[in-house]
Amino acid sequence: MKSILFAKNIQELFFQLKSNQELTVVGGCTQLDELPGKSISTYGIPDLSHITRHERFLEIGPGATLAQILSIGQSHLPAILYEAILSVANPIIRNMATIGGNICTEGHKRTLFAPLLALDTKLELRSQTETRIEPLQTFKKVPDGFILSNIRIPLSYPEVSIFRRIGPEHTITQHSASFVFLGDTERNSLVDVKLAFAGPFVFRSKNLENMIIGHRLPLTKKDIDEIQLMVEAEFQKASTDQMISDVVRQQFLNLTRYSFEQLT
Amino acid sequence: MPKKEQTVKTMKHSLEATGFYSDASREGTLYAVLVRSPAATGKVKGVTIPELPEGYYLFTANDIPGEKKADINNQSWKIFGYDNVSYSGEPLGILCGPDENKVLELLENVSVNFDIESLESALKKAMKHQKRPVVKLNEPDSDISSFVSEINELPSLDTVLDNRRVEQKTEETVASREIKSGVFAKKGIAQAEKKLFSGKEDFICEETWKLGFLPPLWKETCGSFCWKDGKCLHISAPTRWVTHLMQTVSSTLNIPSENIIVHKTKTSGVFSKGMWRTSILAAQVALASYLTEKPVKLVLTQQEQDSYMAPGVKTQISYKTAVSKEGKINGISAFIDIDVGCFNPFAQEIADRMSIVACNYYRPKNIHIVTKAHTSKNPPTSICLRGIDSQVFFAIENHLQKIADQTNLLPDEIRRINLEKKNTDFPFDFDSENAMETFTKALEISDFNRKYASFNMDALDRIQENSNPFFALPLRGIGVATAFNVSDYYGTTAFPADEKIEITLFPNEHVVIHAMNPSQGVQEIWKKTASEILEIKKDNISIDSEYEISDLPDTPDDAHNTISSINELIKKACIDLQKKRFHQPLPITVKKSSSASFKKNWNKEEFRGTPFGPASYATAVVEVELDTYTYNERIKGIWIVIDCGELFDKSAALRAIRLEIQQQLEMLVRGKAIPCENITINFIQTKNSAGQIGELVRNTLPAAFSSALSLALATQLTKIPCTERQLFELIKQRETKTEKQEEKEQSEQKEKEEAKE
Amino acid sequence: MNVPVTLNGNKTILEAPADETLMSVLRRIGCSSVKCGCGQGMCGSCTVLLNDNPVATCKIPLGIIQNADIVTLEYFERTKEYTMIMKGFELAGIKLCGLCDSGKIFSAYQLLKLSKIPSREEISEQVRSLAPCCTDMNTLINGIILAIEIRDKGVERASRKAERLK
Repeated sequence: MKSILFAKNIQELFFQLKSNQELTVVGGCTQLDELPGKSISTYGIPDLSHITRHERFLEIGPGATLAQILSIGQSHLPAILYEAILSVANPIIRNMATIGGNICTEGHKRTLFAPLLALDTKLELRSQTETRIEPLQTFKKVPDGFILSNIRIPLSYPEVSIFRRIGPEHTITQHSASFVFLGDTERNSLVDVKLAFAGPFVFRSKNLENMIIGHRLPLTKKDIDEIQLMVEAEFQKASTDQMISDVVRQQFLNLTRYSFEQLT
Repeated sequence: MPKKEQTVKTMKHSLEATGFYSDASREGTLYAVLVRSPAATGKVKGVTIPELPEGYYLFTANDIPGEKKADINNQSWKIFGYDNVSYSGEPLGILCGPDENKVLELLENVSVNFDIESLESALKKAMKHQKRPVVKLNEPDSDISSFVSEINELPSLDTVLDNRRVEQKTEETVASREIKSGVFAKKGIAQAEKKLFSGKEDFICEETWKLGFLPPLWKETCGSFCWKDGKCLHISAPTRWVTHLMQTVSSTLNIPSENIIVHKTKTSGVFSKGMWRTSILAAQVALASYLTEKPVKLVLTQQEQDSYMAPGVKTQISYKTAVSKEGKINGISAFIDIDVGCFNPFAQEIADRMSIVACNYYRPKNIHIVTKAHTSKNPPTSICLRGIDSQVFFAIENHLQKIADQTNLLPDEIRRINLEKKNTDFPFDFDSENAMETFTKALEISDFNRKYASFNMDALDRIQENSNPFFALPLRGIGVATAFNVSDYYGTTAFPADEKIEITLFPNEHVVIHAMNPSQGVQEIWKKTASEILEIKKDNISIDSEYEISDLPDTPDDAHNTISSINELIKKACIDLQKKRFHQPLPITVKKSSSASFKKNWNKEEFRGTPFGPASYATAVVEVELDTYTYNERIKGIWIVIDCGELFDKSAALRAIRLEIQQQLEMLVRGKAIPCENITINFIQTKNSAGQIGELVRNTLPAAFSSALSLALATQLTKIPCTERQLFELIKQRETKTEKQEEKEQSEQKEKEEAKE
Repeated sequence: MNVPVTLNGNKTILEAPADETLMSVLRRIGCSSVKCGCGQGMCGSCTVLLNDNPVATCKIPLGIIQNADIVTLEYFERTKEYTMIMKGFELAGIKLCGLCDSGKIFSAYQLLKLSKIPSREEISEQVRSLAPCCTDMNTLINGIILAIEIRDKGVERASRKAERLK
């Protein structure tokens, strides 16, 4: 018999976590085929549903729904995040789906993971005694005794900003993934590149990005071929022992090529 | 439910569908699930459950008080499986109880016991489509290499099975049709094939085509709700064949039909349903309700609906055509392979219909069409009365496009040259005089020829260029397909019925049309027709679909043609009424039924003549763009031109066509609805009799889409719905072909240079 | 599990296993406007208003909606927004089939309650995944535009706009 506990605020949430073994924190549950044995939802907890816009970053609570995030307006959100949220299911689902649920779902990564990864998002993890900040790049799961209390998204407006959703439109399958490319140029030079992929596994390589930064613009065909080979090699390393279909792999490589072609 | 007390015999049955059966509820309702066979073959010894709590019931074929089989179109099928199982998932029993969740729990405990002899059959079937697996090791020196060798050396399962116990007959041809004309009829098949396909013709074009049906997820699944009220058994079901449902339940429970009240509920979804499989389901539920004396509701899950109630049949259509360099098809040899699952009582009807439209409305001189409908271990299928021909139109129109590609002629040239009426040997007489009008108009409004030539050249250039171009632009293509939809089928063997209507004019200037209840749109058309002729307000006209049991139509709703035939009858009846109304006291009733005269033009024995009543024609043009980075398709434009004769309500017609287009766009690619903002719909109003506009999109859009995509890919797409993987493989194949061609050219160049030296 | 909610204006306790979907619970207590469609939250057949926002009940386990305010179509039919929406649909020539009513009506409501006039693209984004069982998207968008016209300018102006949209 499955059970769902209830908390009105963070203190009650901590209390429930402390008093109940193996309690899983869930969001709107829109993606769960089956509920865990014992769970507690962040849906409707005001302390965890905040959305605050600062000058250089956005702070969003994990319980904020995707519809609430969209409602702050397209101009107040990074372009790739706005596009990514719009590509999730439909408005009816987005009224319940939470950003926390999208990030924390175990297994196959959901749509927002890649854009948040590319934006260098940081997660605030809180326990009753401690608060930690962890970059999304290293995040695996919320540690026991902790809750995800805040998601800090730097606001940036890169010159080239590409988001693509791979796979079926409205559902997440093994063929689903999301791809993000952000690029900035200055004085005919590529000064910043961010390339992220999330789906069957997560891929973002700062090494690779550093190798690409500094290329002179416009990029030639030879440059793109070279970059493509570098990306392929890094991706191959990351995808060893991962279940990824050759179609998705090829789509990622194609999109990488497409992204660099925008800098020609 | 009847509003006032009537004797059971005089009770009227309404054929108007109201509400949804899954919403119905009564106090004490039991929720039911079907117990299904886990194996495709085998002899069932028994269906048991260790313990049934009070108030929970399990019924099987052994509990049926009447006939264990239902009659459908002079054939029969089991209500519940017994003895030999026909397919995996065949219902063997029904389990019901007051708590839905408990019933699902109990279902896990149900055991289906098979005779051991059938184990060999099951294993053989499981192996049939599997290659014997061989384990491969990447590292030959690995620790487990000796273990892997042992596995690979194990004998194949095939060599240890006792084949005497294996069920031999898994496929059987249950319906077929062969049509021959020209040299095929005069000289025989072998000689004709030798003459036509020996290579003397300029082009021989061969291909196999498949159009699958992708049912939408948003429909209400099939099921039924039954309850007893005194002597009467009430059945709420989404049926479109009320008499058959009543007869099936009556014979299953051994109760008179008069004691069965069918409450017809709405059907949803794209494909026509509510036929014999719904009757069987209703009988299963009715059995449980009858024996428990409680209301019982069964709602199939989505998975059950998709697996066991799939629409239509699986077909594969192969064409081989001999074509002159002018584009004239001198001979066509077609093979239509239909998988009807383990049973389909309408297999012959389906085979006949498909055979007739195998050449669309073109008239090749020499034709040989072989259609075979065979059984398999798949679940039973039914007939999609609406859209029965769509798979064939997909095949023939794509094939014409392939011929256009091979001969380097434009698609309209190919069609025009093959439409000439000189061929009197052609067995079927279609009134295709106006057929090309829609085609010409569609090409004109879409600027087809210019785009086609441009995309074609582009595709050829791409094949010659480097396969990994710098800055790859989206691939573009444009495709066209033309087809028709018919109002009446004179060759029907399954549903011979005359259309009948009755109109009564009352003293208060109220008119009642007594006929089968059609869709809202058609109701408005009927009312408009009556209103104009009788000069009475539309609000004073109503449609009555209540019938006494003896008058209920024998045939399914979809076998009745509501637009052209019945509307004509309504016109005639209203004209008669108008003549009589001022000379006779009211109320006056006029009855009309359809004339059998047209049907005389069809020769049943020889299978030739005029097979169809008035037809509507349509041509669809689709322009597609394929993103080579993500393999996503985008439709840049859809142009559809329709000739449906008299158009009664243009706005309603436009909405209906737009809806059908939107539905079809969800069925072309698995997992995606292809967006299209630019849709142009034109109607040509001709003097043709009014025809149905339904199904015209289904008959044309898939072929136009796949032709367009084929042009964009510069390679043939032969199957719809397509998948990302399919497109990925096709692009890869093309790139590999180009690379191999380049390598070949390079090595030839090298050889030439070496030879020179 | 006992979950206190406000259902159609009445405080009530819904009793069901915690992981049972809200759709299943509402249907069992007689809210037949909540239909079982795709089961994936896409078609809209199972839509209700939860805290005044349309949600897909087939994806919501009962246990997470404590103290929520739920409105089903049966209750929403009494509101003036419903009347505006249905009139707008009527002017556009929409005849709902019964299966998709809640999805289409509540999606229209989500747009109607905005203070601004949404563009055609915004309306299209709102309704594009709803089941095309009886109404095509273009006609549905027209219906919503007309409902908003009724909200702002009245039925007569909306009727004239309907003629232009045809």
